[in-house]
Amino acid sequence: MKKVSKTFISGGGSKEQTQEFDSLFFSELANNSKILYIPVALDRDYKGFESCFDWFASLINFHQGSKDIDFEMILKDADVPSLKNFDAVYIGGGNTYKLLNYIYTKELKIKLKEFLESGGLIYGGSAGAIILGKDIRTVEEENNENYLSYEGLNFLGGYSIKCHFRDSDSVALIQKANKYGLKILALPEKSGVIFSNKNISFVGEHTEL
Amino acid sequence: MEKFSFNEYRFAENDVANRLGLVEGVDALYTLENINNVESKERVSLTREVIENSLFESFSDYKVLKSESVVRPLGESTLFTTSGVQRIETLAKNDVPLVSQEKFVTSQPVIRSQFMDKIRQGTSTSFVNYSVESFNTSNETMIEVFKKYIQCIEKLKIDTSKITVEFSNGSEKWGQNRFDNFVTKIFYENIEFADIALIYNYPFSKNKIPIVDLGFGMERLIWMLDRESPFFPEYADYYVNSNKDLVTGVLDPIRSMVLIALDGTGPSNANHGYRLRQFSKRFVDRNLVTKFDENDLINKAYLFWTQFNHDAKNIDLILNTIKLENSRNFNALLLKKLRDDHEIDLNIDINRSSEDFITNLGFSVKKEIIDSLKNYFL
Repeated sequence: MKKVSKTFISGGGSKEQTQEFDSLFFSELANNSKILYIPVALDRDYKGFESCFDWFASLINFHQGSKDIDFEMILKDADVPSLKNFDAVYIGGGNTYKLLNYIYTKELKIKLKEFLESGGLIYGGSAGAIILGKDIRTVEEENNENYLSYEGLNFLGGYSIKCHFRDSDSVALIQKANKYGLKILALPEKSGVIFSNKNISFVGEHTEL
Repeated sequence: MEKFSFNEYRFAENDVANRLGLVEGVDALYTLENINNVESKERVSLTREVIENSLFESFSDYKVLKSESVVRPLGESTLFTTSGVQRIETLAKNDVPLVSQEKFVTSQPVIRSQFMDKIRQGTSTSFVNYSVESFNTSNETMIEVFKKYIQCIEKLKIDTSKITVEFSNGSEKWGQNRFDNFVTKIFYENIEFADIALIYNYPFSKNKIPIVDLGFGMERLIWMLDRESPFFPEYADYYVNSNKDLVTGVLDPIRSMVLIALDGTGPSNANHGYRLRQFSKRFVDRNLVTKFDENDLINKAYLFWTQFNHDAKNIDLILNTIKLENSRNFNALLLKKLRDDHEIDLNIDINRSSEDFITNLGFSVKKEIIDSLKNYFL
């Protein structure tokens, strides 16, 4: 039976805040699934990344139930393993521009596209969500290293994404939408959206700009 | 809340280099050209005893402490001890007041799970981290520690002309604790083998304290001087006439499993036990190729790690725990092969010996398929 690909876009928040949305992601995973976890948007030393490893393990432990789910965490200087070995890719948060730079440097765009087309699942949280959209200038204030690229992977039907959205962000976000000609999905914490084929389903609140 | 400005205290790279007598080379690396070189012909065979004698002599004014458990309580910044500096978390949790200049050295077994899928010669998830720590100290201690460490290197007859040094200022986050630091990385022929971190402002109790943390791995220090040598010398026989990266990849997870199990951790789908399970899966998968004797691997790891853990569980318990978990994950691989190659999807309990499991499989699966599985796996 052909697997149906899905892309989970989380508005961000703590493990408790994203619990409902995360449970939908984990419910899609079969027993003995394996996830590739990409935390490279974060700036951490070895001990910091060890905490990331433990955090992701705890996320799996919370949601896996009786299923056996494993994962592999990738660090920024390592070769990216073949995505054929994984059932899902989880892209974590941090600096969106740094993350996008990593994706392009490692030539991951085409690999992720093929992964989706073969029925894989992708979860993007915060920065991980934003890079999957069309344009990452929804968070242009994060560009503290003068990165030149702002074109996201555009896996979301032309939407650009803003996470951790609050009402006070509206004015600035509308200005960006007008300035750059963007169709923006603004997601507060505790919310998310699932893209599957041409279907979009929302969890929690969202705002379209 | 106190507003801490570390800029006034921050070391400048060139100042530190000058004070340490380093010479600027290429690519922002410094060399020890001004420091007495050691002829490589005088090289000494490094062992744990030789390294520790040199280290403890060089830091003779530091207390020598026993290592902490590698398994940390839940709620700390990591599940497992990743370096000797984590003792600061134990002190904070127990509300131990720090004297000025709390200085110690320790031989600390550690686990760094982030490398579990990148194992090769020179990189492992478990190793002995020699840690020289100075808590609640002054920034100047970093200079003193560097100089003493070079003395230690010289006592070990390591050729200092092959050493380069790199500096960086930055910020880090360990758990909920954020701080600023100055890091000195030390390389031997481009292999990073040690680092000295000056943490300017580690949050401790209601204060922010400076910490100087020197760490280096025993296995890597020994291996970097002869990169054809086995990364895990206690398993030397397994490396003969073999791909050394492959062998290290098989040995590492079982070695880490034993280290974790020594404190009584058993496999599970949560916390420390889940990590044990992850290591087991990797061992089982990689050992399909090498088919090393599991009993011998576990015994050797036990002998190695109990040098550092004097409260270790009995070997029979460790053997039983690890072998049963490995059987479980081996059985899971058998079921996966049945699904992938024969489209047979069975729901059978995998938590048993593989011998029992295969017998049980025989009630649902044709003999020729069982035989083909045995040929593939055994």
